[in-house]
Amino acid sequence: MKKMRLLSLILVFTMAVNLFAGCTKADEDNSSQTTVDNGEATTETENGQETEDTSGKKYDGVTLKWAVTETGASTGENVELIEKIKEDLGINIEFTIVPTPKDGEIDRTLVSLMAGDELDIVYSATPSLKIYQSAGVLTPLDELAENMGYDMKEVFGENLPVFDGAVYGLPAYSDIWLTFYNKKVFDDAGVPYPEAEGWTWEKYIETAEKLTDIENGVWGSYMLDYNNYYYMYATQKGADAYKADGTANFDDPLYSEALKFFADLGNEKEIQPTMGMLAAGEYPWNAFAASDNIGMFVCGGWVTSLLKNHEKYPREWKAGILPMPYPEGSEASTLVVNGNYAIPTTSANKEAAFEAVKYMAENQYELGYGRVPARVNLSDEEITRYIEEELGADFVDDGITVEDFRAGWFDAERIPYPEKIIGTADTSINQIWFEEAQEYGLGIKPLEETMQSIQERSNRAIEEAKQ
Amino acid sequence: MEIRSKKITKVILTVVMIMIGIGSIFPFVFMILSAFKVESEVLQASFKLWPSEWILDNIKALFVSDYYDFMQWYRNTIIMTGTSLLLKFFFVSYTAYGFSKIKFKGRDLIFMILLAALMIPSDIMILPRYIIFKKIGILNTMWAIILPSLVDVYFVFLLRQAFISIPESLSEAARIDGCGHFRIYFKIIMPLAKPSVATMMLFSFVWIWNDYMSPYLYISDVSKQMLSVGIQLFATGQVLNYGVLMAGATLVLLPVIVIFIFAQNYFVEGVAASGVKG
Amino acid sequence: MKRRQLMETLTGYMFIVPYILLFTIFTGIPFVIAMGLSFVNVKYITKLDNIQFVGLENFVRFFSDPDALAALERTAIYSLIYVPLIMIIGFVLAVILNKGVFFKKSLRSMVFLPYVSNMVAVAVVFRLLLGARGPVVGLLLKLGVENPPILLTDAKLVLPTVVAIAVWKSVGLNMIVYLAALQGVPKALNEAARIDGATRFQQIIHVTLPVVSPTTFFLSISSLITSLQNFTVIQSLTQGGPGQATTVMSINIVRTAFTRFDTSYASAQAMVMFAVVMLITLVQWRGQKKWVTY
Repeated sequence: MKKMRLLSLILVFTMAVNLFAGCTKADEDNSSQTTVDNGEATTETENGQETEDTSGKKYDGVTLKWAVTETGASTGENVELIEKIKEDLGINIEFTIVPTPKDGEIDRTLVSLMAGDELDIVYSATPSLKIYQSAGVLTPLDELAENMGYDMKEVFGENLPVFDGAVYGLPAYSDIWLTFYNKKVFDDAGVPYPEAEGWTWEKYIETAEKLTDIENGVWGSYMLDYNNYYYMYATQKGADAYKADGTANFDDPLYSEALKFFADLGNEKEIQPTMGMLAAGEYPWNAFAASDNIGMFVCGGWVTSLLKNHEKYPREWKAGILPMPYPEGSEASTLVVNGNYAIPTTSANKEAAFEAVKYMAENQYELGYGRVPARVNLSDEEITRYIEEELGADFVDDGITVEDFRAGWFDAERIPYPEKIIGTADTSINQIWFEEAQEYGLGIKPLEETMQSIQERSNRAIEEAKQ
Repeated sequence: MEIRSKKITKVILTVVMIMIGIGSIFPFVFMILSAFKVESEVLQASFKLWPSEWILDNIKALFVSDYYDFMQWYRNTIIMTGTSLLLKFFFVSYTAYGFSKIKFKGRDLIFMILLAALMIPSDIMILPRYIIFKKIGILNTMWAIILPSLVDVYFVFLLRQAFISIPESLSEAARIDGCGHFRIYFKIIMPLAKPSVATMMLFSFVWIWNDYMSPYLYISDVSKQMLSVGIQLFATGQVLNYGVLMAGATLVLLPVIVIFIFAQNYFVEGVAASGVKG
Repeated sequence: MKRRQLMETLTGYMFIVPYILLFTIFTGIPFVIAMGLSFVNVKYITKLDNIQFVGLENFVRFFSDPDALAALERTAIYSLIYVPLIMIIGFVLAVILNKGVFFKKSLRSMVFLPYVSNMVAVAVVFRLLLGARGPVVGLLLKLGVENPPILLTDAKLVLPTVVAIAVWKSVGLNMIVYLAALQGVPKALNEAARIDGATRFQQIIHVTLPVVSPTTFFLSISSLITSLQNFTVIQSLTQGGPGQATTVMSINIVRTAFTRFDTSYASAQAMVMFAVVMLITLVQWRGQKKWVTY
């Protein structure tokens, strides 16, 4: 009897130990990385301070973790970037791959950071960056910059993402919207390539109508179901999402006009897939680059990185670019969003991360992936050289000229509107637009009711956010 | 007359049931066959079920995606499932023995409380569990899914019922021979309860293999993700042809379908046994 | 004797303590935390800096929030369609299988197969089957239907469609449970009824149903609980769309918690759901005296 009891005691004990060993192992894995990083960093910094480090590789050997989406990890751009950083700064950067969050889905990086997962660098467009900051997971950069004697304002000017009076990221590039077109589709339809001058929405629609050939499966136009498409027409007419008193301004007729405008492109004018088709997910985000039957695509500048990637997107047709269309009667404008690098509070190595982030923000555009730098301290010559040698070089085969790039991306006359609504309760508002616009576009709700719903729900969200 | 009309009814009902049966498995048939079709054939105006030519490209394409590592998800899911099943085999039965074969004060009361927990909708606990997982450091690991699976009250209940139905006389005889509870549990009761234990293993396998919500919420690294979440990412994240998608879905469902075909009886009897006692 | 009893008790606890421990950590404590969270004002999941007790504020907010109430309504509609549908179809299938068909075992397995399959993988297949270029639409077009609905993106039809798919997936379980219960119906009872002149149909209503009423009671509650745990079903088929057409409570709770990071509010919503389940179960429990015969 006694022996058996002892045995059962041992069994229970071993089971318990196993279970908790499993738990702690996870802990160990996490913490060992931290300690190694810390150890290396401190020795290196100490070294750097003692001996006059002439190579500039203060953080040589440090490993940092950078959260990228699966697409981000596979495009050549980020890979080249971390290679350059390794070369010039000696810092190793590892990708931590996270899924791209769609509207209404969980932003894994953010949840990860809130749970305390260690990350050193995150990339985010300004609107999402704001959410991260509200969640309290970003390190303000002002102190780090001061300690290094680095004047952020001088380099990036107004492009710096400032929330609650502090800078939370360094902008690497401005993503400026363009019209992309497939020259072969134009040739087949016998339509001449459009001019950048006076390229309005009305002209866009006219051209798309000529290109669309539903029987042969050719769409004259293509766009995605991102929420900002639904109100871009209003934005480009100068509408403001918020009234002077801070409440929502969506009862302004410009907004219902904008929603109808977009939905009509597919549903009524039939120059692009209907909202129903977009909602059903029949056309993925990279359809333009991956297929050969789309005439024109209006989207952010990041599409150039797809077009430049002939491995992933081998195409037999040549591409062309035009500035973003604007409403006739309004001043020429386009949509802009800045992509920033930021340092989470969970980083164990903020100084090294700042070095890396500074390098990335200043230099990424030079890799030649068609990025428009967010730096304000580049001279005219530098810009011209960049356009001529870098931007132009990659798209010579397509026949895209320096002039095309200037017109699309470096036109000082063009008004740059923010791509998405930024302000109180902006996440909720953008989600509301997404849901309601779908319901209107699918014929579930009439326009008036939809706009009312948007206005009411947005105001409610603003109320709640204020609490 | 009566016998003939009875037979006719039987035939009619059989036909009806066959149609229902086909309706039940049609999606699976479509899926498996489509995995071998050329993309343009998967969905077309004139519906064709059977592939006109069988190709293996779709299955191959699953493993060469640049964005996702399907094999990794498969490995993760297998490891997680295996670990959970192994632990549950011992843990749940051990506990069920305690609730059924040993008399001690408070036993039934505690058991009632556990049963009551069956009624708690899991949605309530997702957030608190998230917080707890974070605190004990198992967030973003498969333990966040394995550990909660060990406390499925349903199986403790199932095995307890099974053990109770084993005559006490056997335990008594063993005790006279000098065996302690643990020995009785392991050497006598467990072998006799094989069917119920098998049922538990089968259902546990199915539940954890198919679990979507837990991996979705608690695992953030794509590389550590499980198949259920993976296939969803796969389907919505990139340009894909439908054939490859169907191949992916097939591979996710295949292990379960295969095991089900071979162990049908255990599944069905197991459900029946527990459900009736209700 | 007393010492013996003490050893027994000790052993007993040793057997169940590991489980109780884990259970407390992973179910007991979360439940208590969930209750606690709903009475405070936590946002951003783990940011506990200025946590304050706010009493019933979250619940009041719930009942004045049109979006949350709409989600509740959709959950109610979902369950109202799901539970009767799965109960009736499950029962009918069991009766048919029981009465007499050939290939009983195979048919039984065929209907049960969806239950063990992976919902997400199955959703992928259904999205194709019901999509614009799928066989269902193709068939409707051939039959001359002019504008066949694309079920998963049609606002009016999407909720019933999702329910139908959920029923397809789980009806096997109800069928099997009823099948087993039907074995327990004494043949003598049915014989007596037939002698009295009852038709097959009447036999079912007056003999079979009462005898299996305990099972019906059990299944109605478990089907209700299952119908509320529909996050995976909906997320994989429609992600809550189109628009908000399938945004039910479970989806809303996850969204509120993980995309709007309104932690306490999400917990409050979950507690409301829990209360509703308890209420209905209680009503059923009381009601069983009336219609359940043992």
